[in-house]
Amino acid sequence: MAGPLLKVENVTKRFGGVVALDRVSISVDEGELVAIIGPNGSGKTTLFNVINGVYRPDEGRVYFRGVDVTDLPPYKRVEMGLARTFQIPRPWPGLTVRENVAVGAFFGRARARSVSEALEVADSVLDIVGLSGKADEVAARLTVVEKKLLELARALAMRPKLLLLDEIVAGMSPSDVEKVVDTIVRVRDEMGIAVVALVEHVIRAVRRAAERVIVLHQGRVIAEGAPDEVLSNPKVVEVYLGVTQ
Amino acid sequence: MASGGGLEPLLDTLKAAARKAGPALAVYLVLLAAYFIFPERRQLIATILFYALLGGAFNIFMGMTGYVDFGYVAFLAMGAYGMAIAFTYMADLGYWAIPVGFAIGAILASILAGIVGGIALRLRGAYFAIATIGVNEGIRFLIEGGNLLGGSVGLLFAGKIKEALGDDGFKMITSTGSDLILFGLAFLTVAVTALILSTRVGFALQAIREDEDAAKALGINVTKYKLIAFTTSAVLASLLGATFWSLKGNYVEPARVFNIHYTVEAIIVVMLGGAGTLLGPLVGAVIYQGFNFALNTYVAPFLRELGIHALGIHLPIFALILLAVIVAMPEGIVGYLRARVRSRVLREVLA
Repeated sequence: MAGPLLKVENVTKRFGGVVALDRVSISVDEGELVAIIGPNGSGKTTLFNVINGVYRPDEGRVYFRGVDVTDLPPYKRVEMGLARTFQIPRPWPGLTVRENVAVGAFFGRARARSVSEALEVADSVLDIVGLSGKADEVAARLTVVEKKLLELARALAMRPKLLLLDEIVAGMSPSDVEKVVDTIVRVRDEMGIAVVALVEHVIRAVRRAAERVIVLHQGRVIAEGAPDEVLSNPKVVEVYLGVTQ
Repeated sequence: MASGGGLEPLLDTLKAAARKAGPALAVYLVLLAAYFIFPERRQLIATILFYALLGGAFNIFMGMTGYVDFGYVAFLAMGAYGMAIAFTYMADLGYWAIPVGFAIGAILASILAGIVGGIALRLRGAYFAIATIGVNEGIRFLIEGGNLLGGSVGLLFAGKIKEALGDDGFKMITSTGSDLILFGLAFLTVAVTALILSTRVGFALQAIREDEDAAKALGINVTKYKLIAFTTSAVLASLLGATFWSLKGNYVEPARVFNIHYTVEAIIVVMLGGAGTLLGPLVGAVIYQGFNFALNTYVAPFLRELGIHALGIHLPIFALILLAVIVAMPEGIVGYLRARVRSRVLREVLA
């Protein structure tokens, strides 16, 4: 496939008078690990919802695998290989961990053809994220960190080409952050999945894994590049710390 | 696994469905045996079957998606009218009038499900429930006010059934015949439910029930799966209405077949037994009707001797029991047991 895996072109999204995204353009290549950072309210989650199809942009287009998906419903994009996790984890609380992941295997690019096939995929993915021990537990009983891992497993069971992670390491202890980030990098390396992660504050995770960083502020891309370069950019420092140098 | 042939996933699915269907089918076989062993209890068994089927069909939609359709009885009415139309206007078909009646009812129910579902399934929670009540009452007033199909009097067609099937045929179909069809429908409902639970459809419906927005964002075409459940449930309900009201009862009256009371009873049976489970509606129906029967046959006469006339006494008592069940075990009896039973085998039986 020629061109980038994902291309967001001049996307604008307004909510009433608020401009959540203002002519945002980004692109992601196959197998790339990109972090999108920005303070609270900068438009990160809105951008995800536009990429994933939950919102339609007011202006601009979204291309995935070379196809204009701007007008496609979320399920079509998921079938094409787009998977996501939520900032506040949303596993299906009454289903077991294994069943939650099996749903992913049924409806993603994997398209499992029977329950036993879906459960097989679920077990192998739970093994990757280290949740095998909890497979028969009802999802509602998991800790927040486990729920986030479950969301990761559910997304991986879809065999995506592009994985959108919404604040997956927020609120985790440093050792959990390390573990989860390593898992994500390993998954990317082994399965060749491109990853776009939204990160608000856990800059350590960004330095550890991201190959490219995009900074959003008030709905606009204000900086983009290698992590060290972007994180020392005076404009970025100002946005985060509120000081002018 | 991914390289397996086209047949293997199908066999896997059928095996899983058969395992799930087993326990409920076994209970129905016991009921069938009881039906032949205790001829004097046939009325009670047929009534239990009616409620088990009412709950079983409703369960496919409400139990699996969490949506409550207060106009559900309209689907039974479609079936009842379908069968009534077949005998009233096509009595010369003889026994063929029966399958034709089922087909007309099922088609009417699917059309109604398509229209109502296509519009009302965009609404959530209470809004959906209210919209569906409106549909039920709307159709009833359309038939009564427009004087269609017999208007508010309805259709009486015992004579037409005799004309089509002869006197012996009439006796057979209005008693044992329709009861055996009810058993057939029971097996069909269990099989369909088990099949749904053993495929992606069941997983999609459960995901929708647990968190519809998440289901949508994670790639489930929620409209499609809700419509599948709604229509399947509607068609099964129409077969029940056609059998119980038209074949067994041989008259159709709007005030009865559109009575919201039946929808409420369907909810009771499903909630009591356990929503989304295979055994749930059956357990709910046995308890609900067994209880009504015991109160009306044993307790009410006893009270009458004491000078207390309490024919409807089962209703307030049942209200209290239902309240207690909902507070103490919101997952219903089967759901409650499944969550607490340790043995894996027993858990599978309660699935």
